[in-house]
Amino acid sequence: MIRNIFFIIFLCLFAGGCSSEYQYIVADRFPPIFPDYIDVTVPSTIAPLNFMITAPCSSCQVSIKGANTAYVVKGKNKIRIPLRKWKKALETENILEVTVSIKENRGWIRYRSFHIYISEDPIDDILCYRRIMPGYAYYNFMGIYQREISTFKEKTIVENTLFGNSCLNCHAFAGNDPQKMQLHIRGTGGGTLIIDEEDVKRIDTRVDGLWGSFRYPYWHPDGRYIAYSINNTSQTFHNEPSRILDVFDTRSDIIIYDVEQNKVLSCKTLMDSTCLETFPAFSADGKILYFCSAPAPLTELEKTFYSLKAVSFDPQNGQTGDSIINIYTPKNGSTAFPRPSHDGRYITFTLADYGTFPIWHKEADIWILNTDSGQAGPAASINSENTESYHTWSSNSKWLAFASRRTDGLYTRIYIAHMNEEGIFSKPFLLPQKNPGFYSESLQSYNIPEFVSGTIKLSKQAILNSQIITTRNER
Amino acid sequence: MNRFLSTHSRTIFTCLFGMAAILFFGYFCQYHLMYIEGMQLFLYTGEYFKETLIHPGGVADLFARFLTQFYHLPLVGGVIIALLLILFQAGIWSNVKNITATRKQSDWWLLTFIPPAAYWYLLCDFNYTLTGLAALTIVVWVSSFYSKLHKTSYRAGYVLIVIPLLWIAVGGAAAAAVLLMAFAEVLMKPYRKWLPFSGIVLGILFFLFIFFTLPIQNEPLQLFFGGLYYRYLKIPLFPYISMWTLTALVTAVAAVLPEFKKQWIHLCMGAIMCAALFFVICLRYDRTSEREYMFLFASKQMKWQQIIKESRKQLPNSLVAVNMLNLALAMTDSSGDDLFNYPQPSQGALILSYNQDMLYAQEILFNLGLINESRRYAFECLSQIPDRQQSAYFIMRLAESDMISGRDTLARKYLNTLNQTLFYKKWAQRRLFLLNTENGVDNHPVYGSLRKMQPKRNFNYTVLQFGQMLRNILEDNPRNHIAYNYLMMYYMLTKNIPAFCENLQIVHPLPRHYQEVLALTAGHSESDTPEFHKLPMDDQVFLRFKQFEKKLQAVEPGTLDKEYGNTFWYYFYMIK
Repeated sequence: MIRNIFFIIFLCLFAGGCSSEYQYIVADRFPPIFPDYIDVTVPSTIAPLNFMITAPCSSCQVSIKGANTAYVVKGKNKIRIPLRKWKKALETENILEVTVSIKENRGWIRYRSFHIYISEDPIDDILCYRRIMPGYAYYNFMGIYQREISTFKEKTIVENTLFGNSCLNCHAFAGNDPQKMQLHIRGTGGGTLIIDEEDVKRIDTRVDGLWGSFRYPYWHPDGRYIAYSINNTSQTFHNEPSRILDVFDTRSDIIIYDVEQNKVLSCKTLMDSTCLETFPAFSADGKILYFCSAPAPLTELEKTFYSLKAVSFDPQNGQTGDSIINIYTPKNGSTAFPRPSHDGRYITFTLADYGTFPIWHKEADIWILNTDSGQAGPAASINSENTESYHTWSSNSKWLAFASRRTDGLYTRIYIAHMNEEGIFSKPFLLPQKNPGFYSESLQSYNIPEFVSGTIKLSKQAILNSQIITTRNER
Repeated sequence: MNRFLSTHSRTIFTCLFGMAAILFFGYFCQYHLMYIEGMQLFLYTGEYFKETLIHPGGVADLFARFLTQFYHLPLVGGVIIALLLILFQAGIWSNVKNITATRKQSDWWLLTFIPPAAYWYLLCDFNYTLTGLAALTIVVWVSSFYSKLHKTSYRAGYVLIVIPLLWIAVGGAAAAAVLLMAFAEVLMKPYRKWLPFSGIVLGILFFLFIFFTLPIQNEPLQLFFGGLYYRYLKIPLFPYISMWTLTALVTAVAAVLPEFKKQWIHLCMGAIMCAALFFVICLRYDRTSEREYMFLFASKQMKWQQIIKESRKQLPNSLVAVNMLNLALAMTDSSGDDLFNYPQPSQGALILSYNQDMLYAQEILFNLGLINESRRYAFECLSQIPDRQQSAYFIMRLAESDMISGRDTLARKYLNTLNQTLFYKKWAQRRLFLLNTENGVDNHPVYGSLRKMQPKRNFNYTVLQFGQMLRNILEDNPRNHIAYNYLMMYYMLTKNIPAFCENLQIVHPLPRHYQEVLALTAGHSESDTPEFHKLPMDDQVFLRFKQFEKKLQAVEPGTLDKEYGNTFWYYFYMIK
């Protein structure tokens, strides 16, 4: 009899221990997670949106449900969604409902469910960016990398360990084409690498007759030309606590480089000494060159405002027109990084209170201009209280990747947002990482994100074997 | 007794060697060790382990960095270095024993101390990291195992696999393994088979294949070394090649030299080696840097009296040491009385220019309340760490700067990073507690005060206009007594007496040097006027000045040093 009683008690305890149903406290708020993937819109090829719980907890559980999907992922305070299950869900679903529960001292808390919307619009699979410490004048280790956004794989394109710690910057692609790329390698033995299909050449950008070497690039859509700014850049450092530093140009102009003929084409319109012309960007059809311009000479940095301007461009002969058109002059602020969408409908740019280097401006936001109406306004849904700066369009002009400092105010991270037919952006999501705690631990910034439509096949050997070629000046 | 010494001579010698190493590194170089430790950041995270391991030499790097974190406690650091050196020696001796086991017993145990002694010499330049020593120690023991393998095919297979694997694990020191194993094969009498030699050749070819196909973007020499053998990118090849060759040569020589029975030869050899080691170590020891680092850490810990006390014992003999001393004087409000108790150079006494020094300057700027500038200097230093490590020392400063400036999220990031370390965890947790407490930072005695001292407006800062900068700070914060002390020091050191008098704040009693300045200004006026009597100056000070003036004209200026060397007047007239 006693044995039977013990057996029954044992069975009850066993059953209770095995029960998969916990007693939950329901919290009517969204879960405290990082990155914030609540109600974001993602492409169907995106890597799993792994995240971590930012509140103290001893374990957590996430249920992911769709019309044809249901599974649970568990973890201590980090959720790593299995790749295969995730991919399958994204292939078949339009919306996923995610419910997060965490175990605290008082027991299990179940938070309000949120959604992940899966867009049908495809996205370029590669994001190319530079990783560097967000420093001042000095720099150390840096590299340019390509990341598959459908997986977590990141491959090195070039690191500055190959060039004695030189600066690498300004990687750019013609129409998101991985086979047409340029990037600057500063310092001894450097030059500008121009990759055109199989051909890799290194050009010396100190050109006779030009007062500076090539700086900010923008490829012509057909890949024949690259518009470069040439800049004389300085820094100033702030003492008052709310700001850190500013970067400004004391002189800047724009030139056109002919890739095929390896020569600089004259461009008098854009070498006006009464203006600071910078950040060139070709329109989608290649017939207009947009750029930012401010009056020169620079007198007071905080009163230096760049407007968005344009000039016609003839792709046949690489010549710019004589008249400059004003596209947009902000009422309050200064423009930078004009980026026309590939379908020609919009131009996004960064607006800051003043100056030409918005990454150090907390108030910097991304604005969008409708090329038909000429109206511009902030892309409200993708801006934050902190810096939004450099941005790039996907090949189909449906996705925008941009650099933002919203996570901590200093370390730049890449966010991606979807744009619908009406030109409205969805809530952006942070580029996911395999380890959800990665961004908290990383002491490098991600800058100059560029969508690329395929894998960049540039080998270390090709870079090292490239010979320096002198560039001619047509003038 | 003789028997005891004879039986245990090797143990005694090894212990003496170890103790000497502990004393040297753990005591005489303690601040060097602390500096090296501060210039790295060993994190207990999977990401850090992965990043460290995924390149050639990664194992040696991880092992060395793990050990280097214990330099935080210098004596422990000394013990670690001593143990590694002894382990290195023991590994060499193990190789010798294995070789001579097939010949006859070697008497040349003492010779095996030559490579560790040579490495000790290398480590006196702290740019040589522990990675090289750790790598070489692993290499000698791996090679020792080779020479224990009696079967030819085993040795061939072992060397074929070990050479490339060893390179992947420890980097360039694997070259020493090739030499050691080749020598062992040659010297071990029943060996000398062609198969192991073929294994060596194939192993090298295998290594070359991996070397040329590895998709790591380093210059060839860096890739060959793999690990962080040296703190700078340009690795000095000769010392390492010499070290690896010496290790193999000493092993071979100790194995083949004929035995002898004369005890006195050993004693002489031991004595000569000890004397030679002592002599070269003394030559190599950088006493100046050691003091500078001591001042740096004392400043970081706000141990101002320690700096002043050390300066009294031995006058600062470098500009940065003077900078730190003057910072200590300013922080303790004793610059007005004691500045000229210490020799002051005519330039660079307060702060060096951006290009000359950032490491010590950021401490000065921090304590002056120029938090953004201090942060910038710390970040620039971090960016310039030659071996590209993160630095606990500078990350602490970044965290503090961001806490004070109200950049809480950023401060938390740095503090959470430090929370992943062994020795900075508690420091970080205390600061996280401050951030999580309402008004925690404001109420902190140091951070709260510095927060109030921050400039309220922007002004251009440059050390070339240090005086203007100090005036700007004081305009924003008249209560910033550190800035005031610095301003007064600045005017005295630049001999700008009108500006000094214009900015002087009258307190009673007025510090000695301030009275001396007033005495100099009043020196040419009549002493019995109302204006003269209004000066907050002791009559004795004025009298002393008058005596100084007389002696200045009458005697050899060089003799004034003894009596007046600690006065402003001496500096004013004698230091150009």
